[in-house]
Amino acid sequence: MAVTDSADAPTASSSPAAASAEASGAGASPGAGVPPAPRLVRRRALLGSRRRQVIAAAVVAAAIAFVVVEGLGNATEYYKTVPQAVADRSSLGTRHFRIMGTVDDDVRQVGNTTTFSITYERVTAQVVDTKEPPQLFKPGVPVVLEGSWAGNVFQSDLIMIKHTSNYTPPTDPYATTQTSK
Amino acid sequence: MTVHKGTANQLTRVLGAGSLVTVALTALFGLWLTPPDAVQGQLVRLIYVHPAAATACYVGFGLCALASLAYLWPRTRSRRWDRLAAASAEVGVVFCVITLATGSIWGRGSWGVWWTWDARLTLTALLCAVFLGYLALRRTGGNPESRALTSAIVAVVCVALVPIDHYATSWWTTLHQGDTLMRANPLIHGSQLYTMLLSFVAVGLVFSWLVVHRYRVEVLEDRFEEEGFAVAIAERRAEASAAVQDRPAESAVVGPGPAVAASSSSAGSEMGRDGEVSE
Repeated sequence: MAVTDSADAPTASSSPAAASAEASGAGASPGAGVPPAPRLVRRRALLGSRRRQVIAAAVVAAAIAFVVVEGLGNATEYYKTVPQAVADRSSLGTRHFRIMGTVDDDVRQVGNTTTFSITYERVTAQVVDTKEPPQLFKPGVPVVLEGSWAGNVFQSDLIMIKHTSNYTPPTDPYATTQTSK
Repeated sequence: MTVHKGTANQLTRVLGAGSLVTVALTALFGLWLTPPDAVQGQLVRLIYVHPAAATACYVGFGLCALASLAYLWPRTRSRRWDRLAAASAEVGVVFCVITLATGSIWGRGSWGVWWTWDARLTLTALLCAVFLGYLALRRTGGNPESRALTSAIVAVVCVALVPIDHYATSWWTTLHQGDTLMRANPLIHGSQLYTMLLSFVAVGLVFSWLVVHRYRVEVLEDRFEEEGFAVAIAERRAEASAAVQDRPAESAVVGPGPAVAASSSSAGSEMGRDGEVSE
């Protein structure tokens, strides 16, 4: 088991003992053959200097601050359900927000535009989406949409599938007794 | 110089063999023998990795906090608790990164996005960042006792995020789904359920295997520090002794004993300075 850092270990001629021996002309003395003392390398010296500690602390603090501000700022109300979004339509204006509901059977795709409606607790909202829907998008699937109101229509720019906690094979007898989150 | 054995013994060999067998079985059932999901199709196979990794992450951070509490309690204070806290936190961070990575892959397939700032995802990322900070704190050097004390306090504070993260899907509206298993009637059945439970056993064994090895690495690192220090002192003494022998006139007058002692003392203090600098 090595205790030296070979890259940092001084050479024989650079060590103080050897240097003094050479200076006194005693190059062939017994002391010249003694290997120089190794530098002690501490294993936890990665963040040893004050400057490195400050930099590491700043990086960690910045990461945590970014996560808290960016994430928890809107995490407590990640989305509004369709009834909430419809009720708050005037106050929301053209603000960007998320809305959650289940896709109805009226999905139509023309070019890059997908039109459909979503329903939650018997309240329905019309949606126009201009991005390609995800692979699991289909009628009957709960979705969370990002976008804003454009009059009475929700203009969506991102569709996310909100799947439930249920996992069933296609022919599972338990499938009829599922409950969502 | 003492050559230490590795970190393996009978226990780790049993844990390692158990890990290999259960991981192989989980892969076999998870990838081939279980059916796809009615809604998610083949994406469901990530359920045999992601929840178990998340649980191992929570257990790692929880174990770190418990060991830190044991270190903080004066009656049970021991270096071994500090080592266990370090080992379990490090393994916990590894599983936290696996959780975030597999969750992101799953999210891209099922939700349609790699990442979104909902409460569960945000808190898991925060948990990872916080315990990375904890690991960085452990590498700041300085007095081992004060470092262990500070780290223990930080670990006990940081672990409060674990239950908040776990219950985030119940407390707030999230894109992330709620619990599947932790309810009276689990929402997964048959071979899917059994394979999921098997994945917990597999990941639990891998987690234990890693923690035991990492703990023993900590022990070896401590010995490395202590023995490195002793070896450095011995070699400095040899240097000083050689320097004395290079000066025959002085040694004839003064004698080797006291001169060596004086040189050793000076060399020792010099090495102390070196140690401080490298720290």
